[in-house]
Amino acid sequence: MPDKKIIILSILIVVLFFLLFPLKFSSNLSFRAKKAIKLTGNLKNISNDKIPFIYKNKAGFFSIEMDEAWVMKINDGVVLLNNGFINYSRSSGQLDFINFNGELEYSIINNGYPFSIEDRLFIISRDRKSLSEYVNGDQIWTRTFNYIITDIDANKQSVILGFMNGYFEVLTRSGDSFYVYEPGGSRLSIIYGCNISDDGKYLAIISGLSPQRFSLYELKNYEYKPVFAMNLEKEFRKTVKMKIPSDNKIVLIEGDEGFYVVDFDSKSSKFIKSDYKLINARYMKGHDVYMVHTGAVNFNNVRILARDFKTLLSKDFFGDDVQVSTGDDSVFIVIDDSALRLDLTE
Amino acid sequence: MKKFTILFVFSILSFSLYSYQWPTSKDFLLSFFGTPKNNCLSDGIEFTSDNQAIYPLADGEIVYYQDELIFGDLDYRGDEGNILVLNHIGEFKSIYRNFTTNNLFNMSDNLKKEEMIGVSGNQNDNFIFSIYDDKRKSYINPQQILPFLQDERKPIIDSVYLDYEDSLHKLSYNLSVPAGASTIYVNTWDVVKINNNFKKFTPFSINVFVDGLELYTSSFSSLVEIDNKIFVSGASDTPVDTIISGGELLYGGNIFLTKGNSIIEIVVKDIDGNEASKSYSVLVNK
Repeated sequence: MPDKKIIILSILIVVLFFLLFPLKFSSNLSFRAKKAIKLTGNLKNISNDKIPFIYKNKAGFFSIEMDEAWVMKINDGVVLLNNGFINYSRSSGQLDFINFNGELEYSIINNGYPFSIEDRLFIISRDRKSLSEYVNGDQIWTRTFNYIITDIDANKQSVILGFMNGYFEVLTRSGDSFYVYEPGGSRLSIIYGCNISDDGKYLAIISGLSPQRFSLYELKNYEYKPVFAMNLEKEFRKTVKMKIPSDNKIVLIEGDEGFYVVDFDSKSSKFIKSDYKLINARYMKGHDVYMVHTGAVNFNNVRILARDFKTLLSKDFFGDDVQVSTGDDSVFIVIDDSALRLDLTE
Repeated sequence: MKKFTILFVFSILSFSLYSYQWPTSKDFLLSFFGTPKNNCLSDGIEFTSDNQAIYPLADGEIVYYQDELIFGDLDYRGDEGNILVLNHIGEFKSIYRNFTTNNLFNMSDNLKKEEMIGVSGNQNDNFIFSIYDDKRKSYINPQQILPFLQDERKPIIDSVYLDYEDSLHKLSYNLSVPAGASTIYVNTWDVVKINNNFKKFTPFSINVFVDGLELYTSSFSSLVEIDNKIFVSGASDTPVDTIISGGELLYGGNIFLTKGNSIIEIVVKDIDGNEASKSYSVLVNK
């Protein structure tokens, strides 16, 4: 009788264990080629959801259904916004915003470099010390700094700037200073990379030489506090690429022969080996996974990472200047004047 | 012994002065440190872009470079926007902007002064050379440490203006001006002979005297940021907003005139020490 009790108790403990700590089986994911579209055609107003692309000396949009596309040749540079674009020549000093009906909506006289992040239009001055934001052709703020800007990132509400003097600064929606900090702790102070999460809760910073450090800052009581730091093994003397996917849970950092992943919740990091350099990383909501695009000249890899950073899927392919973006369940690859949609399926 | 000491000091000074080299040919000088630009002042020397070889100021450690301009969807891989920052002994950095690179910096952490960085572009942006002082956290006028231009021409003081009653009044002999506060603006420039042509540049310093008393002095020695505001720092600290308030006219400070005759004297110098001055006698009314 006591044996029976022990057996039942053991079974109960085992059942309880699996209830409390369920085993996670890796998804058996695969890419299914859905559709491809040749990137040709003149400017048109694409009716469905669209994806912007810049490929070599061309730019344009294609629909996520892959049934419509248009392409233009880039003059000297291009800015792609949700409601139009600027295809500018460096010699003119005039930036013409054209809507998708081909109409000139406004012109901005500014000889700086225009670019967009999160559908916000910014212009950085030629000496790299001033930044302005424009809405509907009007300058809504401008800031001039005494130091060269080394990196810029933004979300819908804030802008983060890294400077050559070792400071980084977070600006509000109206360009006012919200937070300024110098990470320090290195022989030389320079900001080599700065990113802000979409929700504004986290800042990822690469700073200094000897050692070069990554620091994570978390917004607590209206102030950013450092919550995690690590020294990087390979030091870069240029701007370091970082990506915070839209779920605001991790940051991926360019490394030598791979990339780091830092988890915001556990405040821990992992180095993932890769033959190529980090280019892009996106969160794919439909499968709760991350798409990571790495590449070198003519070589590319797209891998799908689980939340625990296990590689669920990895595909190598050839192609130079390839652009990889994502939807909730799909990966879009722009290559050789075509766009390819791959659906992620189990 | 005294002769030896003088010789030693002289040789040290000569070495420090000539151990730095101009980063590119002086024949292509376009503007000096302190030239008004984009609602600010230039933090370095600008050269016209003409495919000229660019060399480091001195041996230095590469601490930052960017041969692509990539922010958001900005992906500009032209000559423009390229940056190289070298760290030098003595806690200062030299900064090179807008040039064509040959990827040299990818292979080495250090550059010798005889190693070519690249060439100035032939596009739309001019090559800019700046020096940043880490100790003072400010840009310093590179010509303070570069070999002299060997320019012997004095700056030109074309005209002097007094700003009162919301308008500018050109100073002339025995002009009647009201007593009280007013601001001086000077139309002045330095002239340098380059390639057998005379070119206009921003002068290095300005002094303003009223009745023999120095009321304002400013020199384009450095640009420093204090509490989110940029100042021209030299003989005194003056906010950049104030310096550029006269547009193309150089700010000469605020003065206060009292009733009677006053003599306003303006002294302008270039970086090589050439000096020009002009005096005006004015009649100050109540």
